[in-house]
Amino acid sequence: MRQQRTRRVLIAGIAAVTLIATACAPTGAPSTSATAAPSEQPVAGGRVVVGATGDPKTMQPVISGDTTSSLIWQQVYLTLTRANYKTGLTEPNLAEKFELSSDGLTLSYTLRDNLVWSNGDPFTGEDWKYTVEAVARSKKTVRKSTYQDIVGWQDYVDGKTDSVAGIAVKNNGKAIEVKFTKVFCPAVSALGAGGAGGILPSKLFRAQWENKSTDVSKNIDDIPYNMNPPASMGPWIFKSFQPGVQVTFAKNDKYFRGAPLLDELVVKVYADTTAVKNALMVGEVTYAGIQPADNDEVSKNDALKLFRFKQSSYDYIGWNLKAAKAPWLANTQVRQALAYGIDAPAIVNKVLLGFGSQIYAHTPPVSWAYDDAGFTKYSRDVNKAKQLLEQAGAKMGTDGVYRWTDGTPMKMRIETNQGNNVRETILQFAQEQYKAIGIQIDPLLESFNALLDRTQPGTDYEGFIIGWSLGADPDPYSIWHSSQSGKDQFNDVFYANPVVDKALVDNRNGPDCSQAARRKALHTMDLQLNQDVPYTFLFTRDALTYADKKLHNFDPDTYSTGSFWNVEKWWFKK
Amino acid sequence: MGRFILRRLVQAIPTLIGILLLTFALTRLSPSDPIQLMLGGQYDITPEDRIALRESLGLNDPLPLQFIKWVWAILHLDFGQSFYYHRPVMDLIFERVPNSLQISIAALIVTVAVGVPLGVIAALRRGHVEDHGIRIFSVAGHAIPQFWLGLMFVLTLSVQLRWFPIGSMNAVGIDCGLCWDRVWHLIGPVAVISIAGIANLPRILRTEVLEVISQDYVRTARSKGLREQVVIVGHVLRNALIPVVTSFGTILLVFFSGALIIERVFNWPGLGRLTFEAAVNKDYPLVQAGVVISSVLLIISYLLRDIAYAWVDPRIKVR
Repeated sequence: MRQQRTRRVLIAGIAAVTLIATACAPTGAPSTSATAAPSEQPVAGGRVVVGATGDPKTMQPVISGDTTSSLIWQQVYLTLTRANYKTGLTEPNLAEKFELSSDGLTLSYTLRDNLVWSNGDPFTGEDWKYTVEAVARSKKTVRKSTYQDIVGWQDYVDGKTDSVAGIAVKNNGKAIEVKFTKVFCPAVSALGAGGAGGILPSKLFRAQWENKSTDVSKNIDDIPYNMNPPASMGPWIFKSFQPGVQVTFAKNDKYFRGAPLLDELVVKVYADTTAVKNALMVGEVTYAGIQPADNDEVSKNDALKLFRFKQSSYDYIGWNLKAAKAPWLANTQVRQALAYGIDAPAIVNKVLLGFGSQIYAHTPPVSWAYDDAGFTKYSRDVNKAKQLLEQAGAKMGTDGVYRWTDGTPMKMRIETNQGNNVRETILQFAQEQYKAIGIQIDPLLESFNALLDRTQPGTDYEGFIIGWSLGADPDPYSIWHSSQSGKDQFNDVFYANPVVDKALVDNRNGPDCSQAARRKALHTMDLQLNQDVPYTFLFTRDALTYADKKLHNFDPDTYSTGSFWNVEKWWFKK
Repeated sequence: MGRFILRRLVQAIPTLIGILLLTFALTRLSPSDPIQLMLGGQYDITPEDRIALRESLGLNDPLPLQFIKWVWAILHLDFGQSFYYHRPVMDLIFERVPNSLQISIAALIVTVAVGVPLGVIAALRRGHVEDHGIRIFSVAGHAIPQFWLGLMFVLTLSVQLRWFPIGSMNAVGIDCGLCWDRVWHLIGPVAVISIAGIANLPRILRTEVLEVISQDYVRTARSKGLREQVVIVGHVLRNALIPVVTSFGTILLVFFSGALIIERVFNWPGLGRLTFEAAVNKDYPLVQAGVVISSVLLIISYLLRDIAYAWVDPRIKVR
């Protein structure tokens, strides 16, 4: 599962979540791409500087859970497969081939020929196995759920075996075969890239943690290499770390796609996104993602060029179907009235200055699984909203506020995180526009952590404004399945629909894991969500990335984590 | 002198205990569960592990015992592991202290170098335009919040005009210690922090100089035919500076509290920024360490002030 609660594009420590780059390390694809004209010959040399907010917590993927850390390790540790930067579909990376057997229970990888680490050691399937086993024994990892269906996984975790039985490395380390206990469609994406993190150089790491062991008290969590990557498979080699200042990388001449044209990559640490934007304006960082509100200012800078692309995320108002103080939220017509009651396009124009679009269900428009056939396209309609409320049994009171069937005024809280201008403005909109349909809103602003705490599945909240940042492979089981409303789980609106439950299981466990079958299952789910509206789905945002005009071949898109997918081809025009 | 220092050291102990108690209480009274904060909700951990972790961190002990254990560890310079970075807190602190000292020392030098002459000029030119100008500057320097001044500096002089770097300790690709590039990066934060100190000094110094200048021994010095410069520097300033030394305590306080915000505004990787970010991340061990160490540094600087005071004015020791 690859999704997370968003603050702006924000991280809410959640199990088995992959990281989606922050504003300073933008994801994405360009509306226009800076490709070299035929007459322009690439020039070698130069340095790219990207901004990060905060020091990396670690430089090792097994225990990494924050954006700055992943920005660092992804330069040196690569994955077997990766998400295509535009489509999000799984494509080869260190593995040249990957195949899921027809019964969905065996996944095979064939590695590229002649892969070597920056120190000259050969890259083999043992490196992958080592990394998986490091996850198994780690106490700090967020990646365990990625591998839990592999045969023999739990035995290794518990120290009953000294190796995960379901992983076989064959053909002199060139082939990997993984056996599963059950069909899990997102496995192809998750094991190769999505939830996996990068692969570690096992030969070197073994000196600090040995995987062939049954001693579960030892793990990789606190070894010195975690802050000092000793070898690289990626385009860059770790050079130095100045705390609070920067992390410096040199180019890796042994990178399998070819040595980068640039000499150096620097990840510079800034206090916040405003500081990153300032650094972009004065040319200190080479590229950065910005907020829509800053676009006017940044667009005036002639040295920069805009790349605009869709994000795999959305913002919404969640409605607690079990809210003790708002029993009407359990009624579908009331929720539809709430969907008709708010003007999402106006919100997009006001808070995103048009850099976004309205959505009507869960799957974001940029996903390969998106299909809007049959959706009700809600738009603000006060009369229709009132009509729906009355059909549901509400009666207008003398004060202009509806009374629910039990006679209580339809009054409820909507809460969101303070300091997030976009969400605060949405709340203002909601307060005004729901008043017009006879529902009174009490706004509640709190810290993001408090918001997460308060929306732990329970009955003491009514509406809340928040967002999801979703991975390339669609698996919204944990958000919508009726079983996922326990403590720390994400179905905090208590949505329960047997049709959706079945669609979610079909999408996950097949047995048909083909794209067509999964797309169909997800469309079934989206149609139900579109009618039941447990969320008022608001909008998906466009990413705005500005880059130095002189940087060529820079081509970010939705799924190009950190934009680095083709970094070896980047060069600066002199 | 030795006894005086010893007495001052002993007097510092209650202050220190107070600071420790307060820091400890603030973090323990926070409604968040330390284990929850430490794990950040993302670690794969069983309830049994959670209990074991709570036990191993000593969180099940009674509060007074926790406090004593904590103080004992601090005496051994062990502030525990950072919740956020998962590294020993002292390692993180030691990385940053030298950076903060660069700003503080530079700001102190600038404050004295600019503030003392301004005070003397204000006194000697009493009632003239220089005096009025310096007074206006003093009031303004006190009234303007440092963070605002810092932000304005970055926005206008760095982002708009590009005369100065927008922050950090060195330009990308340059790491040469105390070289010109470092001085270049120091100008912004040091200027902003110094202004509060510079605003403070002339007010005190002006009053003192005016008082001293009317003393009999100054008249005597002048009547001996000494040059005015010698009179001012050798006789007036030496005596007028005594109360100025006391004001250094306040100035140092301004430096420490200012650094917290200014280091963030200027992206300076010092102790202030580290503590600020730790507070944002709810990294309590790091916040505790930052507060305790800053406080200890402050106590030490007060101590140095007292010693300096005693040294320039021998009457102090007798009191």
